[in-house]
Amino acid sequence: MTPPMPNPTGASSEALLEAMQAPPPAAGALSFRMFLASVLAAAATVVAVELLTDLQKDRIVSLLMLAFGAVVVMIVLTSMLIRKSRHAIALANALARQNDQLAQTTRLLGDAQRIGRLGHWVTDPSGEFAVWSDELFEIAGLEPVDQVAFAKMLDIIHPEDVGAYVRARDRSRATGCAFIQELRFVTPNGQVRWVRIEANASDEADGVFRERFGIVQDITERKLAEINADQARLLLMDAIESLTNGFVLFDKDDRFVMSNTMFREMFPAWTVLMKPGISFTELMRRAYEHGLIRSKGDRFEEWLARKTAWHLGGSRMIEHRELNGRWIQSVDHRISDGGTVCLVTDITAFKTVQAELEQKLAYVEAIRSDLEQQTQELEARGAELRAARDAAEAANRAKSDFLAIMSHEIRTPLSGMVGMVDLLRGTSLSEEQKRYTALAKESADLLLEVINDILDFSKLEAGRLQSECIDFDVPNLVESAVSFMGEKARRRGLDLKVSLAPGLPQYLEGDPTRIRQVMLNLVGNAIKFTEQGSIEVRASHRQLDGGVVDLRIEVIDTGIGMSPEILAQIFDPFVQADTSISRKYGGSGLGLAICRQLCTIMGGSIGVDSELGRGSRFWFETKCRCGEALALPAETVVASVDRPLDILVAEDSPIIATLIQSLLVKQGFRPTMVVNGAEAIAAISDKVYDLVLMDVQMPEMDGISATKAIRQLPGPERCVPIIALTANALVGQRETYLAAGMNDYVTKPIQPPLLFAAIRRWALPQYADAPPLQAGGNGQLEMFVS
Amino acid sequence: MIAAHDQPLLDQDQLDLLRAALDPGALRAMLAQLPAAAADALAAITAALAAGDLDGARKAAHVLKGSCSSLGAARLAEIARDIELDRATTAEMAACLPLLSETIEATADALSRVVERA
Repeated sequence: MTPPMPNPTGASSEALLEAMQAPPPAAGALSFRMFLASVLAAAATVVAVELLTDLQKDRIVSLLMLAFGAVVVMIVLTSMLIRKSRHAIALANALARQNDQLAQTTRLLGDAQRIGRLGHWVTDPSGEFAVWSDELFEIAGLEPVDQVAFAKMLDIIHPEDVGAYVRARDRSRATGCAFIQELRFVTPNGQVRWVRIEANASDEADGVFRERFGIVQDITERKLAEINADQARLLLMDAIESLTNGFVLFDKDDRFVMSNTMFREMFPAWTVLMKPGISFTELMRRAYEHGLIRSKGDRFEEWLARKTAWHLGGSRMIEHRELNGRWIQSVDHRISDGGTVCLVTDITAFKTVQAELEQKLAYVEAIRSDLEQQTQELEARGAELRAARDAAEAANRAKSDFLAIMSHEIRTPLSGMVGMVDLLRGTSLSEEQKRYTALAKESADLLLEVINDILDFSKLEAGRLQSECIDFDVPNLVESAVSFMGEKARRRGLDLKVSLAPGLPQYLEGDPTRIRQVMLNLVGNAIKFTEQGSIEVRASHRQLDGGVVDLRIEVIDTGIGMSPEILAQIFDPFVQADTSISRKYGGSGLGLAICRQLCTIMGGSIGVDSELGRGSRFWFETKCRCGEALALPAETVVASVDRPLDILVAEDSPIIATLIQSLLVKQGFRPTMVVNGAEAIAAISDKVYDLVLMDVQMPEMDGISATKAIRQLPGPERCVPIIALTANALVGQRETYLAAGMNDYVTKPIQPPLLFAAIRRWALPQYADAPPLQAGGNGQLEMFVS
Repeated sequence: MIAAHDQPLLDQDQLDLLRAALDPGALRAMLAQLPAAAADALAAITAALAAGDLDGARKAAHVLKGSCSSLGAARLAEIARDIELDRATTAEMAACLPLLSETIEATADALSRVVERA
């Protein structure tokens, strides 16, 4: 029993050991081998126990031994299983960790590619397909697929870049050197992207390089920036080239960088020397050696030091003359990077023009001084002329003054003669005497008219007449002037009519007296020089700025007319159409000159259109302002009175008496009329009157005496208010009336509003500004005078 | 007569005042009387002058002045004023008479139109 024992036992132990120690390459195969080893070990143990115990015969013992062996096997197997499963779990954990790390690395790689706009590809062994990274699809604008054919790559490359790409790729494949190229992709939506493709060289196999790996980077932004920079540089170069100045650039180390064509054309000899990189001082030395510059007396090195300092100082303009005679203007500018720009201009043409201009300027200057001299001479002459003119004007004024005086001296006695002739004609005369006196009268009248004209004219000449400015009724003025001449026209059988333009203002402000005078003169002339036909007076106006109105009056006749020669001087003084006319028609020849003077002082003008034998059209214009309706306060005065006043009126002139009576009756008063002072006293003693209107100058008893008498009466009637009616409104006379005991006075012409106002003031206390009337003259006098 | 020449024949303002204060008929009647009254005054002045009565002539002129000015006969009034106040001798006054006569005629003419219009 013993000898075989160790073998099986040893064998099974070894097997078990081996099983225990075996590495776990594959879990299934391992478990099976371990299980087999366990069963074999259990069986060997049972056999060994049977041999050792010799209890083969004892079945129960045998069975027990067998069970024990089975239990041992189970225990061993169980422990082995536990150990195996622990090992498997550890392995699984390690694997999961590794997977996580890998995923993170992959993710980081993807992020890095996305951020860097960089993708990669790996070519398959055939070289016809490639596997792309996600970012590469993003760059190409394609949907991700597993494999991308080489043909597809050719599709997305810009058509202009395809040829270069293929050639570079083929060369790389042939030689195995690295492939680097920048080209454009066109994405499916038409966008162009610049990319940089870079591939490593790969190992050679069978004489062909394969297994290529490479990256594609999106460099669109950088590329566009480069293109822009290129364009900017080109633009700058164009600008520099298009300068009309010569342009030279030195860098911060004062080395020549570039010049433009203009400079090169201006200085071909210099251009030969100006190689990029040559320093300014070196360039100057070379130019000196070539005789392009001179050092102007100094030693060259000293000159060069100065020149260089000046050049580096920058920004000063100098003009100098080249050896070839051209004028050059140059200026050096320091630029921001420390370099220097020299701008050079050929100003030869400018200098020529400048020289010409200077010459012309000198010429103009000479002319100017000539003119100044002439001006001075003219001024001196002007002063002489002014003096002469002043003297002439003074003489003219003296003449006018003399004329005015003389006219008075002539006219006064002449007037006396005329008057005496008239008186003489009123006496009983023989027929012969009557004829003589009629002729004397006619001649004297004519002479008087002439003298009147001369006097008017000399007053105008002497500037003694001034224009006045009052409101007037335009149609009324024209019509009254015309009607004044109506009788004269009728006597000559002429039709004289007025036509007022539509829209003619009713009221203007101006000088109606002068306008009337001119109008009368013109109409008088028209009548004088028209044998038959008609005369028309037209009035119109023109509105000017600032409320000014030009009033135009025309007098149109069908008379003899005038020739142009006469027209030219018709408004000059002492001119008549001709002497025969003067003889035939008479007159001083001053009428139109007077009219012109009158129009001038009214700020207007006068003129005439005429044709010999066809009549004349005289016109004049005067500057007026818009006028206002004439004050007619009668409207307010006519207001009703409280009661019919009894008024005594003492007035000797029948016509004034009638006028006053009519005015008072119309006002609702009750007038009693008497014709002198005595009657007035009698009337006042007879009846109570509210008021007395007393003419101052009456026959038999004048107003002053009557008033004094009334104030002396014994009864209350002596207190009646008395208003003087007088044509004499002088201050001294007024006081005489008041001293006589009159309360107030009204001057003639009797203006109804003033008359009514005076009546109300004294007869109706509610109108009185003063306290109620008191007896006695002095108090009233003071009251009135104040 | 410068002053007279400067005066309009008729004083339109005065006539307007009269028109406003009187019935047209009454005014017409008065204006129609004026030439005759003026002629009377002229006769009175001439007579006074003929008699050498300077004062009488002045008084007649004064009356004429008052009535003419009140009825708007401005130039007549001015001539009357001239005779009354500015003429010192009969000769000077007589010198005014032709003009006075002429003006009466002219005024009558002008007034007849005013009367027609009134």
